Amino acid sequence: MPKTEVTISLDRDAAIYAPGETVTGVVTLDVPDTENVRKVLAVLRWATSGKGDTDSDDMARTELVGKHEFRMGTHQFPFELTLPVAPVSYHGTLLKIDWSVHVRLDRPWAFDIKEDLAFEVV
Amino acid sequence: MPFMGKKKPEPIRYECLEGLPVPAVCSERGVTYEHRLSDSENANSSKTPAWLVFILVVLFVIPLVMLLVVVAIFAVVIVLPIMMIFPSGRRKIRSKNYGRRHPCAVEIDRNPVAPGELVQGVLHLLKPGPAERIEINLICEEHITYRQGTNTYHDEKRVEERTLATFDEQDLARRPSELRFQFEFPIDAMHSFYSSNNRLSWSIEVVREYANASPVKTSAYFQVLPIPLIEGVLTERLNQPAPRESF
Repeated sequence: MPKTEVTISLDRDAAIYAPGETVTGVVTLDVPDTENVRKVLAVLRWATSGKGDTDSDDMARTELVGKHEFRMGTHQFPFELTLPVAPVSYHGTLLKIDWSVHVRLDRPWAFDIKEDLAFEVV
Repeated sequence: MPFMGKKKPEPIRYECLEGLPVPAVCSERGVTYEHRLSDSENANSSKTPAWLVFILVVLFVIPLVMLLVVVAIFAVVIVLPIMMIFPSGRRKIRSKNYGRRHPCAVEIDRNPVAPGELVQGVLHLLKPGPAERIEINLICEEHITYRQGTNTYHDEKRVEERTLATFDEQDLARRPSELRFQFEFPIDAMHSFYSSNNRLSWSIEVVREYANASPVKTSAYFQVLPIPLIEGVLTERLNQPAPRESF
């Protein structure tokens, strides 16, 4: 059974934002067959990487769709999420801080489908 | 209507007690009794017997104290003299001694600091020592924690180091009790960041160099604000300059 594909696109080509700005974009679901979801979530998330154990936090979230049955085809959902003032993106020696838009399809009795799109906060 | 219930007893007049043989107070100052009463009902039942306390002391406390004494004697009589033979060991011992005997403290006129701000500071030498040179540095460090199995490891890396001020022998000849410095915080600096396993911290490091000892390093940590707050903070602080009495 083919899997639903999730694509995230941001309105800004450069994908660089300032702290406090609003990140806007569109989530596209390409459904090959019917798909039942409990909800579709879009989240702004920072996560650390590097030598240390990772930390992450969801700073803003929005529910794009509630309980729904998608039919075959392409479905688009615009989103708007506001960035907090900190932290900003950082690429150091031992520590890196990266931002991403994280979309999750919460499906009953099935693994969730997840997709990330990284962007910079400077 | 007359009173039909029990007849109310008449109150005792204290004059009646005067002639009675009241016993004298039996407790006297300095006299102790065998049974000391507890403030708990079952306190006596859980009381540790004296013989058990004695055995515990003999088994655990006395050997521990003896071990500590042996370690202390070993450190003072054997390790210290051996370290004093080598010049590097001597320098280490002396620097520890200087650090302890000549403490210092750093004060800055604002905390947190925003990138681009002018920061004024003072180094208080609480007991001025024989330092030949003092260097004040601005330091940014990454601290991380990671686990492998059940072990936890820490690591840190200095990612930014700038010398803010240097005081040489001439400046320190009179053994000043305070040294002032100022610096403009870098506009492109990363703000302070704290999470469970990762940390990015800013500090002012004071390095005191002595003629016959290793350099003594002391760090004073402060917070750095993220960039969007700069404008607000700067305008607010420019309108309201930092109080001078904080120095």
